[in-house]
Amino acid sequence: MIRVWPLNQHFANSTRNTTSLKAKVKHPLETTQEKVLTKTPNNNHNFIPGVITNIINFVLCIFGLGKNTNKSAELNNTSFEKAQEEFKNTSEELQALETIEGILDWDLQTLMPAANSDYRAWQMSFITRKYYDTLISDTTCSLLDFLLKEENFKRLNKTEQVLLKYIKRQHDNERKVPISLAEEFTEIVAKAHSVWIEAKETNNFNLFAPYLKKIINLHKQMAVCRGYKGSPYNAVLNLYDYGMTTKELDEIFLKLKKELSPIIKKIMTSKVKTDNSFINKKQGEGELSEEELIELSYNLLETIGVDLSRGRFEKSAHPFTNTNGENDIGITSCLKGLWDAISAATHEGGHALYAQGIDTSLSKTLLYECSSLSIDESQSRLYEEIIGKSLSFWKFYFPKLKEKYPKRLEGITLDDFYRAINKVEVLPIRNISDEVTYNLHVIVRYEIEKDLIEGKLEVKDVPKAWNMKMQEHLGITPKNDSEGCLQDIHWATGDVGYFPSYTLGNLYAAQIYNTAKKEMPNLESEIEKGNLILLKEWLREKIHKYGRTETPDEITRRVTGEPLNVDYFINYIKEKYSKIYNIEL
Amino acid sequence: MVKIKKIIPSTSYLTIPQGRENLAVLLKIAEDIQSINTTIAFLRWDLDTYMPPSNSSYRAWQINHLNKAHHDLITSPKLASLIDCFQQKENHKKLSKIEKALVKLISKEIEKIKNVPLKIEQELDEVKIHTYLIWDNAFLTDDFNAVLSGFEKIISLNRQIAEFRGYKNSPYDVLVQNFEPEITTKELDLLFKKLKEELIPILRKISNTGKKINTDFLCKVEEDKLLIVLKQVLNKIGFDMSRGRLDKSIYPFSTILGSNDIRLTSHHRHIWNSMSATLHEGGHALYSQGIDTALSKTPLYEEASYGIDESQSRLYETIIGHSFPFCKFIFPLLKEHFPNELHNVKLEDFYHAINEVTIDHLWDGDEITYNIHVIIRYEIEKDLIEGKLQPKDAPKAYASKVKEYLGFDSPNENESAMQVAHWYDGDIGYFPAYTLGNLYAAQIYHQAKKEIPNLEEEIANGNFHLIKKWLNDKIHFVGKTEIPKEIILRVTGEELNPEYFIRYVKEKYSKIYNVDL
Repeated sequence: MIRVWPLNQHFANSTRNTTSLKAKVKHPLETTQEKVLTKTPNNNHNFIPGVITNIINFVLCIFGLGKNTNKSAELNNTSFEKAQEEFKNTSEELQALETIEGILDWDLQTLMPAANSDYRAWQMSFITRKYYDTLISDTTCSLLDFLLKEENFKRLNKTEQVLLKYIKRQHDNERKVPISLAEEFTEIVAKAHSVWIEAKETNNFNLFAPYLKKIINLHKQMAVCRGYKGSPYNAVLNLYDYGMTTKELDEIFLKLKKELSPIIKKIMTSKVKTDNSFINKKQGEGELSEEELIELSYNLLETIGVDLSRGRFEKSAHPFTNTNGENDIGITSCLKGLWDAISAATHEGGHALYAQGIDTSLSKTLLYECSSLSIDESQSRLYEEIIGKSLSFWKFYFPKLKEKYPKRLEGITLDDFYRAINKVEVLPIRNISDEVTYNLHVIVRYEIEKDLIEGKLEVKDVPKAWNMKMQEHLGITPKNDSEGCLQDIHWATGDVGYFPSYTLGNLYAAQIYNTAKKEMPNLESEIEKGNLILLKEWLREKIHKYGRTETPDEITRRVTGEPLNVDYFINYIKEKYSKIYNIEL
Repeated sequence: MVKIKKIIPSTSYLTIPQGRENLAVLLKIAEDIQSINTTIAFLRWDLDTYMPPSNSSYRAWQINHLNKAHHDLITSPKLASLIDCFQQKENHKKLSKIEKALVKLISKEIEKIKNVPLKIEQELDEVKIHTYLIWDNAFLTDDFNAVLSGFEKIISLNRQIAEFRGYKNSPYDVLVQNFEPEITTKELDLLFKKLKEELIPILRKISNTGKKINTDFLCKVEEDKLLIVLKQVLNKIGFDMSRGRLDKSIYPFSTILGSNDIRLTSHHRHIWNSMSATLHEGGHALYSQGIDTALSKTPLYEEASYGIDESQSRLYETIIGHSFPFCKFIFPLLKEHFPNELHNVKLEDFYHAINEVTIDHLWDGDEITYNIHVIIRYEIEKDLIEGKLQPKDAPKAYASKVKEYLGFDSPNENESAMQVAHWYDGDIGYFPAYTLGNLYAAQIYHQAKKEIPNLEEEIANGNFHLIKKWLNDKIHFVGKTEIPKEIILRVTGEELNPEYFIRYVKEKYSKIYNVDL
């Protein structure tokens, strides 16, 4: 939800600002202090110090006995309408705080003077604390319970029902975790980031290991607090992708591995050799100027249908997209090189189309958000990979690009360009990998973090396990831990359970696009003509406008008529790359 | 199902903290208040600079939630009891100077809002933002009708607030004290009467000289080129760009978003107007950056008042920025960047041009006429709040006062009334601070010249370090731990005295217009 640690770090190339999806938060000490100082409203029990009453309320509430407490008794006497109004207010307050936190973070990463980062972190921690005080308060607790009673629940409209359930889930997630544990987590994560940087720079896993161990342990403890069925990994997974299970992922990933490994091997044996050295150049060595890259980014965003009158564009260290308000979707790019700028624009543009497409009647609720991290990623990857690296799109856009920047692309043909941006290469680094090998990188991480949470692997053995799995799945062993198990920031920021959504995003994207083509047979010929609005409108109608009112599974079934199915992605890869590499896959 | 762990808070929280612990709680609340204040400031800054305009009502809604949080904090019984506790003699004397100032400030804040219904405050906040945004468009065409209904609501809500808060003499006291603590309408009446008596004859004499000053070369220039000079000048006067930003907005402003994040805005189009605006905002920003950083997470990290704040901006904009020594520094620099525009222009011409007295129906004239416009605005808004004038009649009232004080007819009745945002962004009671700022500035600068040898020579050489350090030490550092009356007395040894400003005007303009004033 709302992040508390200072954010000069970002997921290298992961690009989506995860603010609103991040689940782990701090419960500052002051919360407790304030509660102590407030006299208990229960006049009949003046002899009980406030804090004890609070504990009692708290425990009763957790066990669903909240109705016996004073506040709930009051609520029972109040009308349904009053509770409904109260719920609207609470929900609006949460969304206001969330978007305020979002715009503070946006500014932090774009325009704010670096010298102000501590102060900004302090401002954001106030907003976070306020958010969590409201989310887990006794009042909210009894309010939710009151409205969840069958006779009340059925009187709510569908959106209210979904919202209520969503807030209840967040409420439980946070309220079930003791403040001390949450604080410990926040603290370790705040420290782990700089340690991770040093460990990565000096190639010293042992430096980072104690922190990772602590983070894993805390995740295990929090999983116990929150409760789970089956694997404890389900608890962390659900922070990012509600409803997904470890069992499902195991099946999906097993199938992917089995299919992808031979494909990669075959491609490696192809005689087709591709030169992609020209797609990114350094500033001053023939690359477009920053102003030209900005102009190009605007043009691409507009081409795919992003409404810049309802958004803005800035430069930042790592590209990201953020919902700052109903008509204020922020998009950034790092503007390093030609291809970096193009892929940032298509990727972030995909996120932005989703964010702008959500029904604005939801804008003052927490449902003004993507369904999940994975569905969000499906939209960005659809535009970055499936569209942004397709022949149809480049048939339309390459001549325009070349006309605009003739010198930059001198001597390069459409065919050269298309092959270069689709070059398949086995690399040790995930975030620069192509769409064929990328998912195997994710699977390596998934298997390791799952084993860590399930207690089947010890932190000290992570490097060994990493290298083995890299060899096994991709046929490559990293030179060292810096380009091996230390390469990603996620574990250092406490984001265990995050990785699978990258691959899920790719799979959803392929499946959704397959349906789009079926329903609009002229889709690709329209793209070739430069009409990308057809796709945008379709996605908006089918996916975007729903925001968070449906789960990923509900969306997939409604849109494509079946649950998530790996085959669409595999077929897409086979069809595309057999042509590019002139090989049977 | 797994058993849920219970929270067991450490035992130290089981007792209500005493003495210093209580103070820690108070300071924590003060931190929260400041955090909300600076976050709202940021949301406003963004609204005025980079935010897509279509998002404005959503932004108003966001700000409203923070205002509510602010209101809840200030009106909480816990805070009231803490303040009560520290206002008791035996507790109060144990506090440090900063802590005492904090207790005083918060108790005033509580006084301010405890009797005003939250609904009224919220309504005003919403009307403010909406009307401001309408004004933002309408002022281009002087469309007073477009803002009238918002303006009426703003006046009526402010009148209600004054009634809720209570006052002794004029309801306007309540509003003006939002900007200048402890000043009264009665004091202002006296001060402004004296100014009118002195300044109107001066203007008449200047006008009677019939002297024509050529200002043709003060023209629009290329934005990017000007921006370079503006940044250079900001840097020269001592603004620390690593602790702030300069951006573009229609209406220049400066704001504290954090102790290391002071942002000012300007326009970059006119060779002198933009320079003047940048110096003005630069003066504010130097003040903001000069406050003791130990105060940064308290509401005391703020200028002492709008008037004192304005004294610093006007000091840099007019008293220094329009002085002959400053021209010696800036003119060669401008000439270097704009050789064509300033071709054949001499230093003297330039100095006279920027100080041309333009008795006009508009406000952005010279530093003398300026105060007459402030006084007109003061008189109008006082009448509006006291119920002696209706908002719809404000433009007419303005025009007739222009006729009375400055002696000519306004070509367009609405233009003067539409010129400045404050009536439409809800800041009723703000205007007097502009003239107070001029008066403070003259008195402070008089003292500075006494204490810093060769000050004007240093300025002519482009050395602004001495004056900045002196202002940092004397005025900026204390932030809001002193009220304006205390600051003026401490720094200059006497109370606010308009003579310094009148003398400054007479001395300067008698030379420029070659007339006995």
